[in-house]
Amino acid sequence: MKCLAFSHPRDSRGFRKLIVVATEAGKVAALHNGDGHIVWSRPFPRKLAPQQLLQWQLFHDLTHAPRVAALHSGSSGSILTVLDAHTGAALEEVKLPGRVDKLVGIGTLSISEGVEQSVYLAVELPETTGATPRVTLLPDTPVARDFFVAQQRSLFFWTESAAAHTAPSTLEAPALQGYGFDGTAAEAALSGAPIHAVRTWSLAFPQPLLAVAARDPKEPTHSSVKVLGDRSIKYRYLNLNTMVVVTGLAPGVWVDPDEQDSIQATIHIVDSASGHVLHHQLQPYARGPAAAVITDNMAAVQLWDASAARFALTSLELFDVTPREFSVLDALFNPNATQPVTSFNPPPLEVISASFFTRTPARSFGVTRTRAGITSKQLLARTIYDQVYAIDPRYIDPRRPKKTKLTAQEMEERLLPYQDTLPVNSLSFVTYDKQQSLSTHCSIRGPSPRYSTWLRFSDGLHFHACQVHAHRLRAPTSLSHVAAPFKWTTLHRCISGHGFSLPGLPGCTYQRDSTLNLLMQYTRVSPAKGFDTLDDDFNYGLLLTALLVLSTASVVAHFYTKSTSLAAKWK
Amino acid sequence: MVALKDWKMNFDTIMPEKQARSLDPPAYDDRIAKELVSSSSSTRKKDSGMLARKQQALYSRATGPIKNIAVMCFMAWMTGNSIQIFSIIMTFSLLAQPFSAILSSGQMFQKEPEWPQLDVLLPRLLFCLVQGAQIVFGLYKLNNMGLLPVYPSDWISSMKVPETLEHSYPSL
Repeated sequence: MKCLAFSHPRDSRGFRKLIVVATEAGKVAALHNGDGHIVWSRPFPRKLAPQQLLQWQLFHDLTHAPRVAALHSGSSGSILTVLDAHTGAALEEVKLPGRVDKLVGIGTLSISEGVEQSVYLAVELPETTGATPRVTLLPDTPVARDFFVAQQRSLFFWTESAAAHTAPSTLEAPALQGYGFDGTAAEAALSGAPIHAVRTWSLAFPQPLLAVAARDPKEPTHSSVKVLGDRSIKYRYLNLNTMVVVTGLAPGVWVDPDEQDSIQATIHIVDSASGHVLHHQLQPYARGPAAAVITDNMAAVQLWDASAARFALTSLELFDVTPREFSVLDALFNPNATQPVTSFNPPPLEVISASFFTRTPARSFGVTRTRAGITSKQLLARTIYDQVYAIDPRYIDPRRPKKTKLTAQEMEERLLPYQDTLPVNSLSFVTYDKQQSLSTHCSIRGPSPRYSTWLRFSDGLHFHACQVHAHRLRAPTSLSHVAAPFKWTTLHRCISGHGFSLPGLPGCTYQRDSTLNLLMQYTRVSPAKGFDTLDDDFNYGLLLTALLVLSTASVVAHFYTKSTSLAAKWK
Repeated sequence: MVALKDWKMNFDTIMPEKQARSLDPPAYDDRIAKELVSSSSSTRKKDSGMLARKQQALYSRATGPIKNIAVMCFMAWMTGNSIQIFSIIMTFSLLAQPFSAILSSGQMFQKEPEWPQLDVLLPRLLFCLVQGAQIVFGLYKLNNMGLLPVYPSDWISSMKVPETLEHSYPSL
């Protein structure tokens, strides 16, 4: 299931969103984020069920609705349907001759006044190992082709092989493959011929892949340095192409008790444009299941510690240690003071890492996001207990000192003394209910509750993470296996008070394709405790009363002082 | 017969509009009521030691605030070096007071027209120096609080985040 979020054009605070979802059953629907009701829904034939939902066009004026594209990829051909996000009407259909194995978003371009078009590369991987993948531009217009040619030299993409998750990879069947474009691709794009990508790098690991995480290209970063307590500067390694790759023993693989001591997992920091392995570190006794995330210059990896029989979270912080002199005049007046970062000449890295036992093990991670990237981010862990827990970055700071008495500088940096287990603060849970009946039901039937994408939206200095947590319920074959219909309305209430209760969806029965059969949860998260907005229960009446009383008192006092001073003058 | 001058009470004062609206007694003028009675210095005899005494008075006026400044500095030292609202207010007043005193020193040390040999400039400079000592103490206090931008890290916010030259995208 895929989903996207669009903001309301007249909404200045960024709280009103329209969530467009595409289900496996072939239905594309839009939900209102206030109470979750369906704004529109559009069924697709089962065989042409869209597998991807893409942002297509965004308009800056109020009269046009944003457009979303639903892509179905098949062996005989692929279809891209462009829908109006506010009404669900199909606006155009683009047919592609081949499969679409991978889809790469390469940015947005403004095609006319106030219209932003997102451009994608539809990659068809070759059947034979020697051939190069064929790439089609979506949309395939001259403007998009010019856009592609303009950035062709700095454009790269990488793919991950599904087989590498179960078995070690070889160079013939690498785990990670990077592609780029050369001059022939630019000529082909300009002449209208099919574009071919070239393989630039491939990586094979002796152990199966456990988790791969890359940085979000649109993630805003506010500061490129970290200032320590003694006022010295550490330069953060902020290359957008950094990714973290975790390899190790796959979950469920039997290991002989005599060989338990040789279990180890490896965390690699890889540059995805050049394929350089910038750093790798061994985690002894660690194995899958694993989850990883990388944001800014911090990576977090969760592995199972076989010797302690607990989940362990390792955090890594990357710093650029090229020797450099900081000159204040340069920083203030020289426009070329900051040199751009390139993947093909990686600087020397310093990686600081620390591991902690975690009592909220995660299946996957997300990170809160803001518009400017100023407030510290919280790591959102989707736990194996179907809850979402927000981990404060101070707890997983790898620079936590391993002593109890802190110096003044460490206290100024707000560092906490190292403790081997991460605390569980019940107020940091983003979700409220545990869906007991639902998970039991799903475990009987088969499909486990799984996450769709994390939606992140931001509003100035206020940080929100909107997560859409969907349970896909496949219709049971016989209704006798269905659990007693639980009340959809009472299942989700968010602790922050911003939640909603899902009203009874139309046709709330277990029928295939007639309803969405989804259970959605929507939450707003404020890592900075919402310092810039008023609470929902702010007492406006009290404020008005106080203002009225004060203004009346000031008027009365003014007359009183006038009369007393006049009496004094007449004395 | 002497023509009697017509007696009239003239209510025109400097601020006629105020007169029209307020209920003040007739011919009451705020400015006149507050005016200090200036001693007519022209009637006083010029002493031989008058100049020296006047000069001495000016110098003592210049060095007078030293005690006040010492007390202010001691109070500022007592508030400590942490960033609290009281220390902020105290440091601000510590710096603002000498500035306003220096700017108004012209009014304090005015040249007297009947004593042209009176040196007003030197006492005025001395006064400004004494106030300057309080400013220096204020800057020293700011430095102890860590608010003076003497480290490179204080200027680092003007540095932009470096852009990445290559863009590598994951597949969706």
